[in-house]
Amino acid sequence: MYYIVKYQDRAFVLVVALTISLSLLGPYTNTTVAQEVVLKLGMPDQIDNFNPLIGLFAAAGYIRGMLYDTLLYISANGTYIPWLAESYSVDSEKLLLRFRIRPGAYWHDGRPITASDVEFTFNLVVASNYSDKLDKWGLRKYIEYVKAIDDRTVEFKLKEPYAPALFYIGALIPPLPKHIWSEVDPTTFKNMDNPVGSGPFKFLKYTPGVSIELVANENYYRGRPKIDRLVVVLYKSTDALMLDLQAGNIDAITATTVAPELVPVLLRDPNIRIVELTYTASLRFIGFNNDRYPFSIREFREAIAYAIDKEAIVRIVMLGYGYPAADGWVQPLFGTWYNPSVGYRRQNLTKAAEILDKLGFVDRDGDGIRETPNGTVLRFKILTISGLAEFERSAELVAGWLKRIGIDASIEAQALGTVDQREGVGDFDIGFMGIGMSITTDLDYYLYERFHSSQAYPLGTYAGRNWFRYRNPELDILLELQRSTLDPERRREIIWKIQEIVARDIPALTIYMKTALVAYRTERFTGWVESEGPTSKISILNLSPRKPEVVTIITQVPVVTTVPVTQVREVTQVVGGTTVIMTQTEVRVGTLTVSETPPQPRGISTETLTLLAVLLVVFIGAIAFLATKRR
Amino acid sequence: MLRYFLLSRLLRVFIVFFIIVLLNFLLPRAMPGDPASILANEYNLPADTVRILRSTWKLDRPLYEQFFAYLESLFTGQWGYSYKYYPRTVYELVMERLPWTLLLQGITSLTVSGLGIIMGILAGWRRGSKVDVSITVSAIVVYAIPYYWLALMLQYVFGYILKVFPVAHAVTPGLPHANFFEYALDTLWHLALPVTAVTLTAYASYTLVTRNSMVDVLEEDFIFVAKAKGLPERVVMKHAIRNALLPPLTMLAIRLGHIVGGAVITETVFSYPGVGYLIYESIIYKDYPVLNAAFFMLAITVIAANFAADLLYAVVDPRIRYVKRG
Repeated sequence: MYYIVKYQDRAFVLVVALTISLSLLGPYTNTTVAQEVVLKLGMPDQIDNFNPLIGLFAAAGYIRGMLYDTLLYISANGTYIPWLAESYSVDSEKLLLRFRIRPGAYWHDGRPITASDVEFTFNLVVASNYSDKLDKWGLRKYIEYVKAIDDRTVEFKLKEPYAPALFYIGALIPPLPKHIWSEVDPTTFKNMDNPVGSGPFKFLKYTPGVSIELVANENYYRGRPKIDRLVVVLYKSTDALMLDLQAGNIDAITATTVAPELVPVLLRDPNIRIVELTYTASLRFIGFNNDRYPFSIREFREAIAYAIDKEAIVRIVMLGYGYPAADGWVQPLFGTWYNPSVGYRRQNLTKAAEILDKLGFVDRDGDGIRETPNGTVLRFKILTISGLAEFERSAELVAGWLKRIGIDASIEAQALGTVDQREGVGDFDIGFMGIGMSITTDLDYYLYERFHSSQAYPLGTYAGRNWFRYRNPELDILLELQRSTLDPERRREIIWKIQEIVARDIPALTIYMKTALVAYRTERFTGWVESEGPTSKISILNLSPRKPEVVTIITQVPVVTTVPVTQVREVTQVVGGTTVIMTQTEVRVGTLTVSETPPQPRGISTETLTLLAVLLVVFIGAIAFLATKRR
Repeated sequence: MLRYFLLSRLLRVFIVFFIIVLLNFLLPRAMPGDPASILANEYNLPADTVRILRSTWKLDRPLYEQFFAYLESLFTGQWGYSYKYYPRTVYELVMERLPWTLLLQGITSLTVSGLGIIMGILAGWRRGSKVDVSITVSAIVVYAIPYYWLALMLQYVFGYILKVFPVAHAVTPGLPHANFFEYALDTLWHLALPVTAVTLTAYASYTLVTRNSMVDVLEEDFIFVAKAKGLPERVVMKHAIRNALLPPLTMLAIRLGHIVGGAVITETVFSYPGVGYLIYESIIYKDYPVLNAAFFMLAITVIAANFAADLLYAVVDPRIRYVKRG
């Protein structure tokens, strides 16, 4: 009897203690953060470092992009906009590139940005003791010197014509402050303690595994951003990221895309907009081992190309959020660089069978699988990365079609490291892989190392990008020529020709482009520039907090006024699988409730606490009840 | 006697330790794949990067040179540079995450074993009653729920629909904390869902073990005698519990040995900073220095925990004595 009473006492004391401690939370919930405009972006990645010369990660890259400005900015249609440079000139005769730095541009620590900073940065890459480790783009081969002519003008002299130079110098490598970087070893500099940059946002704080906070650069030469604080929230799973977006804990997602299955779920929320990025998408392709019979036969590869129904994969695997990829590797998103006459082969099983018959690959023993003329059965493995449902599903479909033309293909899904190694050394038949493509990167980056025979090492030696081991002297010449052609019109012709050759030879077969769908919330900010990407630098600089337009409600009776809000914008609204494009139209986006209070900074709300308290009390009560139930 | 015991134990620990150091070096390198090319592949880097990274990380050197560099970094340096997070040191990466791991793992160890043992004692004490049946059945049912699904449901219900608990992270991103009290509360608030998810899926094993052990003990003669003597139930229960606690405490000791390993799934689902996810990433990206350090750390804590458990047994259970054989 005695101990039962004791239990009840303890339970009571516990409840009292909890109530008291919870009531102490009171002041905490009422603390309101100062009226500060905070934009929160979520991305599923971690942070490696803020060193623009060696950093790899996408998320950290996004932040590096906010901290550091490049001389030029590549817009979503592929044109170069003078950015930190107010103007630039290219002298193709003398192989000179000149950039004139914008007046009134300052580093985050207040020192002016000068031509000598630019000179210093590029000399680090191409002409210093560190060049061997910093110059992963091989710029040393092409840049003769970098020279500051005066305070604001910097000159680059090329050794030979090099078309991608403008991209690497102008848009990829940002100038770094000489007064800081001359005192560190740039190959091991993490740059994580208060990095000094030139961009619209300054570094504030890094909370490991949680977030990076940036604050507006008051002295930004393009005007101070209207966002006071930019919080980049890091995630480890996209499930949590999407839930937080739906819950309104973050305003937009970046460095990731919305999975097709999620689109209808997100669109249920009227405040979420889904945008299809026009300047980037991911290519999915199968690479053939061109050094292995029978993939060394062009016609055999072509037969496989005819067996595959690209539209069906887009429909079945991507639920329509993608498009069949052009056979010439360069895709329509590259604008004028894309050769529209190339297109892609549509599925034609009879044609595929005819080609195989002509090659002498026929089924002699009647088991439904063809044999080569010397009797080897056409049985292959499609190597792909395990754990990626999209890849495995697509590879299954490909295998199914190959069976229909008498080729027995099965899927071999392995860990990323194994797949990479096996493809690199050529220990595979067919590899199903994917890469991201963006018009903001020079095409040379996607073509030269991918198809040049100098990159196709013999079987057994690791080949990083031309693991198809495709060698074609005719294409080699064109690949070199497009590099050294500075005239855009002439270069375009060469690149068109390259596409024709790749589409003819199909060393690797492109299958589909996965469109990049991003999402953002509309209720807190206006001015998202969708054509450039909602989280691009241009868009972020254009954002401003949404404010109620009419403020005064004087009468005692609560009046809710609604004002129709219209915006002129370029819209790509994705509706259930089909893309409806409305260009430059005045869209009535809905009504804005004027009396609406601005969103409260999130913290523990009073309702939350009440619920928490109730739950705890119920839980403890239940335990106490259980303990005292008998006798 | 105790000195002999300590010495023999220590010698054994040292031998195990050296084998671990060697295996630790060899095992990650036995995995297929090259760290540099994986990164180059993942981030679509120019082909030259692979060569540069390999020379930076000394992967182009002979194996014995790598081994000496590994030993050196293990005992002197900051455990070397991570490959994936280059140029951050492994020490820095681990120390950034270890406090969160210890917090999460420490609290869940307490809740899991606490709830499990209490439930087990109640069930065992009232063997065959409705209390026993309801506790045992509910424990098994909850135990059978897949962890990942349960965690997602918790996030969906409490994070998205009710909005009472945060979906992810260890602190509110971008929320300035005025003082330590606020910070601590924010941390606890964020612990709610992960701790609940882990507790629900893991407490059942403790419950079942404690219950069975309790039932066994209650059959023993000394309990019969105690009851016959007319001791109050509370005292009998106390005697029974002390004897029934050994098996669940062993389980707890094993769990504590793995505490620094983190909880990969919890950390992934709740985007919780911790060592588990770092190890998981390092396996995928073949980040040898991180793997070496993490396994080294894990090995040491497991050895230490086992050593401590050995010693503790002798203290807790007077029947256990370590004697020199022969």
